[in-house]
Amino acid sequence: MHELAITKEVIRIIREEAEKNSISSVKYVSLELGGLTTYKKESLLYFFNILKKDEEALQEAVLKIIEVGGKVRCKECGAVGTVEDPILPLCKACDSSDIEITQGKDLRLRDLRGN
Amino acid sequence: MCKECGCEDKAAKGPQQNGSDEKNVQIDRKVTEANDATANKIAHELIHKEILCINLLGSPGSGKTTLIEGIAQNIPAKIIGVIQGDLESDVDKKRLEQMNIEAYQINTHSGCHLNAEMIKEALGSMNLDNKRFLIVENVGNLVCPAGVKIGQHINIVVSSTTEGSDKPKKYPYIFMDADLILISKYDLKDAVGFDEQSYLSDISRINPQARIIKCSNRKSSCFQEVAHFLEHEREHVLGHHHH
Repeated sequence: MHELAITKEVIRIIREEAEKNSISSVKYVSLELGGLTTYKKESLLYFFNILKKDEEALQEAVLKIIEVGGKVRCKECGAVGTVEDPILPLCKACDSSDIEITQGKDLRLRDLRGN
Repeated sequence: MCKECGCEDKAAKGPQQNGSDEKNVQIDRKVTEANDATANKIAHELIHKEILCINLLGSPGSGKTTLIEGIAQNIPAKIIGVIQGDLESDVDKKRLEQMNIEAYQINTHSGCHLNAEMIKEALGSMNLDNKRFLIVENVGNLVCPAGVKIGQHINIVVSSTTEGSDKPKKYPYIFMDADLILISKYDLKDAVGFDEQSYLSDISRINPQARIIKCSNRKSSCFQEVAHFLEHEREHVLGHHHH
């Protein structure tokens, strides 16, 4: 449910970028979705397709969501690894529990195409 | 057909170009940027007023408002300001006002969490003179408020034994940013079969840095511990800023 608020922000930024770049009809938008956020791809698409109907510039817009997995780095030995949820693994190289998340906590708008 | 010159040659326009005037813009903007900017501004302004802002999180019924009442037994109520977030009603606001704690009620209606804009608006109606702590009791929810900045300096998660010991495993996002985890209704742990070892082991995998305080509602010693924690954090946050 909380994807509604964030999708409104997605639309707001698209509107702002479209105006700034004199794009009156957005065709394509790519959104990078970190695997360690609490947002679900299906819900983002669902709300986007509802909200875009009220936006003149977004009538033909297609949202592409690029999922980016979580990455971690061991603060002890520097080894990197992947992670699917915030329950952090022990470092595979040195067994340390001093792990930091380096990727996957963001939702970012990447590209916009239109004319 | 090309809109610019009328030619039929699409191949000449490159692989990703459908119309002649199609633009490709690289944006790379964080979607939460507007909220984060407002939140950072609030956090900064509150430091300037020497106020520590606490984001108080937890399930409905976990004991968030009880914790505020407990804090107010150990820190003078007149230096505490509270913002209450609930879908409906001002039950909690009235409850706190009975203890002479100044409280502002936000009703989100269907909104599942508070955001920085709501706090900004609330602060516009509050008198923060002589306040030292601003406690924002977020909407009772272990999912949506996680990671949403509201201008807080620290996060406290209240997690009751009656909810079960599997909550960190099931809702790790709310626990991962907690500075303090308060295990409430600790006196009921045996009655409800709370597996403390498993709970603490999960916390150590999600947020090993978090301070943990166990709290039974009838014992004020844990509230005193929380009050000390808050005073220490306030010194720490203000000190960091001044140097």
